[in-house]
Amino acid sequence: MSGSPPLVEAYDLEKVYPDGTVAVRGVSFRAGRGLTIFMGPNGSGKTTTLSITAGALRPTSGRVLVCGYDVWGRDWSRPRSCIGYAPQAMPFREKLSVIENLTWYGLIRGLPPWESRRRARWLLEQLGLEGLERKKVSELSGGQRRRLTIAASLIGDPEVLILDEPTSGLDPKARASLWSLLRRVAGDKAIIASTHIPDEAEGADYVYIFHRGRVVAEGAPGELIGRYVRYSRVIVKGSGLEVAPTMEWARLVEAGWDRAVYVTEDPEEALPRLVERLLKLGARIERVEVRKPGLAEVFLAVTGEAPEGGA
Amino acid sequence: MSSTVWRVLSEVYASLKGMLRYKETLFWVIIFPLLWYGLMAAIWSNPSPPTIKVGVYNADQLQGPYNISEALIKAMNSTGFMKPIPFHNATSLREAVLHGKVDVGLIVPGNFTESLMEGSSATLKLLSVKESWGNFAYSIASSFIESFSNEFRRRVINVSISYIVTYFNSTQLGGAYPNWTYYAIRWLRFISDPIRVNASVYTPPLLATKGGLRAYYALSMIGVEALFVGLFTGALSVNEKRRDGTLTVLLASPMRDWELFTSETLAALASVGVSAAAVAAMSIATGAKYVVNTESLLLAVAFLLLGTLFTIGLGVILAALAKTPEGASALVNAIAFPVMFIGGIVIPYYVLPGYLKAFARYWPLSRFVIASRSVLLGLMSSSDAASFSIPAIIATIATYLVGVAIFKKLLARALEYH
Repeated sequence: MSGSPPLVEAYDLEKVYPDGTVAVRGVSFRAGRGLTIFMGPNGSGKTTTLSITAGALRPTSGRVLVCGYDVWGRDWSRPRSCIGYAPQAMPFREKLSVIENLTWYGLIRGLPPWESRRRARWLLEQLGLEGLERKKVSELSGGQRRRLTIAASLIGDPEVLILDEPTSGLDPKARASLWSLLRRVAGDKAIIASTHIPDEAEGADYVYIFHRGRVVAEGAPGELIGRYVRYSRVIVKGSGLEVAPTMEWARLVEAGWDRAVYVTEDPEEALPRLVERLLKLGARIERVEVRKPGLAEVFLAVTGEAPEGGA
Repeated sequence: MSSTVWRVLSEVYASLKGMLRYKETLFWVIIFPLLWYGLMAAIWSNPSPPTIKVGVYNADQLQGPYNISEALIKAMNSTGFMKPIPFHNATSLREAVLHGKVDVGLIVPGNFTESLMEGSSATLKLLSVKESWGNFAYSIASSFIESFSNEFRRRVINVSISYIVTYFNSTQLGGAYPNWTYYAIRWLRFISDPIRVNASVYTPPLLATKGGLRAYYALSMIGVEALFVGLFTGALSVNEKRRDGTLTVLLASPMRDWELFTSETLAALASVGVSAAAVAAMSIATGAKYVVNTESLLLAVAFLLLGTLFTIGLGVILAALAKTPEGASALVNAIAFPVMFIGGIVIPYYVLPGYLKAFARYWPLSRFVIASRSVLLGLMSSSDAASFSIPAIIATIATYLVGVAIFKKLLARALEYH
């Protein structure tokens, strides 16, 4: 987890559905102020863990403490007052306008209506949604709806934000912009978010990698990359590349007519020798890319499977 | 105010805001009861009885000042609820009866007045179709003719008495039996009027007036709203929110289960309140008359709120039987529509057949509607209405508590899996 004291602590969470399906098993994590990301493919247990942490899904076993209170203990309200939760498809009431929806979210968090409205206006302004107060939610674009979701989760000024796939359905540019906006508006809150896109997780302070209902790796992104991946990826594009061979200093992982992919620990030394060898073999080279290792490679190294949305 | 208050009022906020913004909700909460009220008030709020059309073929030969058939038809016309319509022959009259152009037919024979003047019985012929309205019209017409016949007999006997007094006493026979005249007159008077009616006419109760009947149907419509809004609120309180994802964020919010249920309850009460205010305003604008004082008003409001609590509780019980919002809605409609008519809410309790009366008598919402009508129409004292409602209050508390328990179970189930 990040350096600050934890606001969220989860111990040995397990969720087994009545039909016997195991959604998560033995999941423990801690999150302090800053951005903590749960990374993993769909069905890896991220959403289940977030739902349990937010207090919307009861675990079969395990314990979650938020702001020092047990989410599933006798005191129902206190830990939940500390949480702002946005599921992947945030429900908005179609009969209400944008500002009325936010006011309703404020009311269910116990804010008086005038305070809800004041805070809703401030959040709309901060998230670039001013002027849309009276619109229906169904009239908003995908990106506007995502920003409204963040506003709804922030309306009660919670210390902990739990966001399930907050950038789902957005293009890469909009995703990057939303993450930076979220960081700015949320300030020093503890944000726990999930994503299946490794590039997004690289901006986090701390990452938990989920695979088949378990946490298989955790750490700051740089630390994870350093721990699990020591090679770079060299991608050669052109034609006649089906002849590309495995070499001592560069291992071939993929070869096709127009593309060959190598992994190597020392790309600077390997690259000129690799190009020379391929040209000798009659391949025609148009472009060579060297990709530094990222969380996609970490995921591959840890699970042996390529991540969804990876490079 | 504490944050609990705002959490509990959240659903009222969403419901009232949604009502203003969403035409469909506005229709069901305000327009629908107003339309129904207007319809019921127009059809049923006329306290005068319906007019019976009596087709008359009068073949009476004797004309002039002593024509008794003419007197009969004139008397019939003066009742206000029977309208004699002349026909020129018996065949066309029979056709008119058969085709429903008149409700009942009356044929006066040619020797009608002559027979009566000679002291012989005369026979009138009544034609009707054997169905409920025809039977009713026949009963009214024959009762009227019987009354006319009694009046005719009374007048003949009075003439006879005056003859006895004038002529019999002066004869030898009268002198020989002086008490005979006394007993004969007494006997004749008995024959002419064996049963007398001593009528006392009071100011009609509010219910027998147009304004009272309009108030009656206005309260029926508020009862209908309590029935539908309560049942739907209860039945969809978990199912629909689970479907649209709202339940997930509510469960992750600081709202406790009792706050959620109270919030739903208050939202339903607010909807019924808006509906009731609209119907009451329209009814007053269209001439409905109520017995309004602080006590009657508070009691009537309390009865209708209790009725809504009963239907909310019942709605949640139905929710436990349905897996989807559509299933819950179907169950609600299957119950609410028949109950609206057979439960003594729209159709008055006293016109229901016996076995349905028994149901309406014990159906708590009907009891509350009857009690609120009774206090606002001056049919029952406040204490009588309160005592009348005690079984319904007990049933409501029980049903609502069962509803709360089921609601908690449904929430617990929703927490187990999405």
